[in-house]
Amino acid sequence: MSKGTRRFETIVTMSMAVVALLAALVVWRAAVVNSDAHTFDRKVLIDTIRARRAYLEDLDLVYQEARYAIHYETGQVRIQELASAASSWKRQGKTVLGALAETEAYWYSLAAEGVKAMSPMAGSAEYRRQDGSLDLEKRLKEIQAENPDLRDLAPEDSARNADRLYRQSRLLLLATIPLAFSLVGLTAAQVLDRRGRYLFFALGIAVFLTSAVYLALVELAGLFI
Amino acid sequence: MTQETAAEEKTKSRFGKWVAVLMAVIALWGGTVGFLAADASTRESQATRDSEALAIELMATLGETGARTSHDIQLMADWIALGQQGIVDQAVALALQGTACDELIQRYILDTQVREKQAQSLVPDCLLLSDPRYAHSLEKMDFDMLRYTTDQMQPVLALLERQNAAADQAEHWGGRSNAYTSALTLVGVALFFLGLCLVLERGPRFLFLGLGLLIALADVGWTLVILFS
Repeated sequence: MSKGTRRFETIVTMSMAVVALLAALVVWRAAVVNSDAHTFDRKVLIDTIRARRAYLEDLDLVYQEARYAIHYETGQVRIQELASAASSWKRQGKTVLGALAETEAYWYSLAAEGVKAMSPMAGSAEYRRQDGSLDLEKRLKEIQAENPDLRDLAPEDSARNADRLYRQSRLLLLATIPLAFSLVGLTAAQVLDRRGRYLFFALGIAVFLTSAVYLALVELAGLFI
Repeated sequence: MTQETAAEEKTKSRFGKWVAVLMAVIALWGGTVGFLAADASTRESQATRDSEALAIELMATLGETGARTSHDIQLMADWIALGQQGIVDQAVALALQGTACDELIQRYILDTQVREKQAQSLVPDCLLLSDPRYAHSLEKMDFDMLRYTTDQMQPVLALLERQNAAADQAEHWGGRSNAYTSALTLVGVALFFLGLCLVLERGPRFLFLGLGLLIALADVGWTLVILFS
């Protein structure tokens, strides 16, 4: 075996080692990126549970307050009717009936104050829509604003990040195919005796370099996207 | 004798070199199958996550729908109760007509009016009573409860459909991932047989070469079937 051939084979062997090392690094990097994606996946589930649980708690509170507000409203209707009847009866000289209605209205109004304290929506025109219904969405937003951390949880962002990392991992792993192809070329260069070995060597190195550029681009894209 | 040995050594060396190239090609195929397996596994992870997140969303939406319908149904029950009490008060007032209990009659009439107004005040806050799609006539108590329930359940059913689709996807990709992993194992077996044929003597080496190639070809076929199924 000539000195030139030996040197060539050494270069091919070294090249194969470098390609194999890069392939191992790519697999390791893809595993790391995949693991990061799994972390985001867990965050998606945790954030979804927390966000939805918080939302349901807030919604329950809104409906409780709505019940009190409606109870207050029906109480006010009764008080107004009693007060109006009381003054009417008094004018007509039906003093006993008038006094009874007045007393009833008084005690109901005291009870209504207690109910009013249970809900900010009770007796407040601020929470009434034009059609007379309670603006529950407005109250819900106010309650949610008290816990901005829970309100602003965005599982969709985590899902997007996880998908991005999965994509990056997939693109990294894709490079193992040309790297394996490069190894095939270099192996052929190692075992062939004739001039074809140089062609296979050149092919193996070209594929390896293209793969390296591709990997650098994938990593750069991962940094900026 | 020496020439024969040298010729045999040369043949063996050439055979070994070609088997090495063959092994490298099969390893390249193994890399491709490995990539497909990893890709399928990743897609399974994504679909599983989506399916689980949607299941949580589904439960929460059920809770939300439950809270809303329970609110509406409670208000409707209150509305009906007030209406019934008003009718009773009116009936008592009518029964007392002609007696000397004029003040009592007036009181019952007042109660009838109070309950009627209270019932009216409930209407705007109850979808079942205020929406003409569900409340055809309050006087006749003609309500379309079925439509109300169907409409309320619509978001839940839509989410259920999405959740089922995501779960199906997860199962699909999980099955593919498992199949590719099995195909990858076959690549390993093929490489093992080719490796054996490098160290064995003339006879069995061709048997293992043939076996290795056969398994590799079968693996290619199987992987293509998985890929296009």
